Amino acid sequence: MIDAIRELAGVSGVSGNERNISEYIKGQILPYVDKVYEDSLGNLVAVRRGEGSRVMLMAHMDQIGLVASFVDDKGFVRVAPVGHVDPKTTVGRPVVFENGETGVFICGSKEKKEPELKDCYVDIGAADRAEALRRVEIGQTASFLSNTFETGRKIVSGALDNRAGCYCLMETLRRVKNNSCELYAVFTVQEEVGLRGAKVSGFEIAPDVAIAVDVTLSGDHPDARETTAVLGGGAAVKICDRSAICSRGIIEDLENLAARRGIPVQRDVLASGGTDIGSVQLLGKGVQVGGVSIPVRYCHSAVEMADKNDIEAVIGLLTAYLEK
Amino acid sequence: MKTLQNFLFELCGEQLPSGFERMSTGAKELLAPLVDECYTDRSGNIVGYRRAALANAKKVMVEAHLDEIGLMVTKIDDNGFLHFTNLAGFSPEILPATSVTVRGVRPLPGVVATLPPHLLSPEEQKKPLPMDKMVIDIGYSAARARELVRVGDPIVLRQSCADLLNHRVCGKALDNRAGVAVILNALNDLVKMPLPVNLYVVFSAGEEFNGFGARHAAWEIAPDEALVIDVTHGASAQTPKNKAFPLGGGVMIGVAPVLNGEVTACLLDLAARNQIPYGREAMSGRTGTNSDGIAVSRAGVPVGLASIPLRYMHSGCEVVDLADMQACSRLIGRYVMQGGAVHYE
Repeated sequence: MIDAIRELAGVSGVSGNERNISEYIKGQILPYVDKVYEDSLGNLVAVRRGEGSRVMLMAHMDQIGLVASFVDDKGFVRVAPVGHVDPKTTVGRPVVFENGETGVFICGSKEKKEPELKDCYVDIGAADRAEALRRVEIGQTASFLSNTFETGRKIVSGALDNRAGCYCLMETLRRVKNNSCELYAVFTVQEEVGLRGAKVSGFEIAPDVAIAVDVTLSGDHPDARETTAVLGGGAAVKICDRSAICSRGIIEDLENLAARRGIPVQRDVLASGGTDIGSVQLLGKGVQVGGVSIPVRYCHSAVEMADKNDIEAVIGLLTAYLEK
Repeated sequence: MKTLQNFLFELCGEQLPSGFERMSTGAKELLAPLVDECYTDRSGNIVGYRRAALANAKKVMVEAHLDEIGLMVTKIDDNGFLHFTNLAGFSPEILPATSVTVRGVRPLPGVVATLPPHLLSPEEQKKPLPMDKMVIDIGYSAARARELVRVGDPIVLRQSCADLLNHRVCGKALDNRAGVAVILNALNDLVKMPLPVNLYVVFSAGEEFNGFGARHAAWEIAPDEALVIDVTHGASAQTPKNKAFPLGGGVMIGVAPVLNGEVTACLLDLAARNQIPYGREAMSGRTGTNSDGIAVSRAGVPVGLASIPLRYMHSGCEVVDLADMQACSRLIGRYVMQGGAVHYE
């Protein structure tokens, strides 16, 4: 598991620029699907033929990052955030641009108590503006670099949101034997900037059921805002978040299935944040939606932490759901 | 025969937070005898259909949202207190010391716990408590509470309706049971008349959350045009003049970019010609009602908006004037019997 997640977390895929991660995932899942293609927005859609209703599982493959907006006279690269970048947890991290150039994310102002994005820039070590522009083009995206490692039962990495979800969906595709539905496993783009990829993919696929496989916030560490789902508590079955209220039928199906198979689950009522189902639920005459999530501490930082047993539970629950 | 007030008071007794509209039985029972077909769709909308007297008549949808603001249980602590979050529409200011109904295995009465002023420091008295620090007391031990309530169970305000003076009434969830009641009342008046349109009545789910119900219904029904009934802000002592309208001033007809000009003109004309008290409510962008979602369904639906002024929105003591509801009900009747507003060649 750790090696697979380390590889996934090491491939770049800032929102709007998911080609690398898409190619990587495509290569990994090819043996386990009947058909795989990219749609017009870049969503990677894998199809497993089957009888019955159309089920769409979604894991977003994009990650938060930065985009170069201009280069100042001294050669420092000014950047804008892509997705919700919190300077408190990202300042000081090394970054890599899409062409491989590396740099560090720095906050200029030291007077303020808390760093603000407008004072932040990327230092690529250029001598002047001309050199910087030779190395980094305006409009290029950069992702944050991080290490992926294990500590006890926990995995720590900077891109668990949502490469952990991608891993679960890939593993599910590998493990599921006889799917009792027409399965669309979609690795979506542009989730971090407004659930955009899912909207296009959901319209094209027009599923009966859509389930998001994503991370959720675990508020079980000191000073955190308390949450319903916690690390080690099992797969988090979404009740609602700020983007969707899940369909009662899906919640019941998932919970009953978990009880029968002895898969640990917990309920997830999230007071902030959303997932891809927020877009899909509203499409057409309406889609029945649910969510199965991996609790993560320190979300959107360099050290996001998840529990391996929770990840296993998510894979187990999704596999069971598709085979039921 | 049921009066407008009967409809309203019966509907307000229901506990229907966004996403949990299937808990309703009352609204469907009230609607069924007034239409040819009645069903709950998969989003939880209650849909009633009345066939037109003529073949090839157009489809007109009249919509009001059925759901109300709600909270959701996030934790049952070791003292049996329920912790909660906002499901849809609540602001923390109205919560301290209100009574609520928790929809556990059965409806359970509860109160939002509060500290008496004697026990508060002067600073605490000034500062309102954030929602994640509030708890609900249902009077049970932790063990018993955990048998009756689960994380994810919804919570609504508990407040019965009451008559005020001057044909005004107060209660919880008048936003938007007032809208549902006026549609039922209009249908009641039309029950023996042959209709010039195929009429779809939708009591929609999820408006206080993100309007998913009305959007699904508009796609599925694909109406030729639609009329949305909701509430708007009623003028009280503290309201700004341009955003609130006097109670007793009649039905407010929406004028906004997202609303269809022909439907709006038709509603204004119908009200003026039939001595229905009305006013114009100008909105510069979106309306904040289900009109916004219905208008952009499929290739676009011409939509009009009629609203009932309501004071103290999203509290347990919302106030409306039955005369304004009556005006709205009459406007719906005239609109349907005229065959809607938009006439295609």
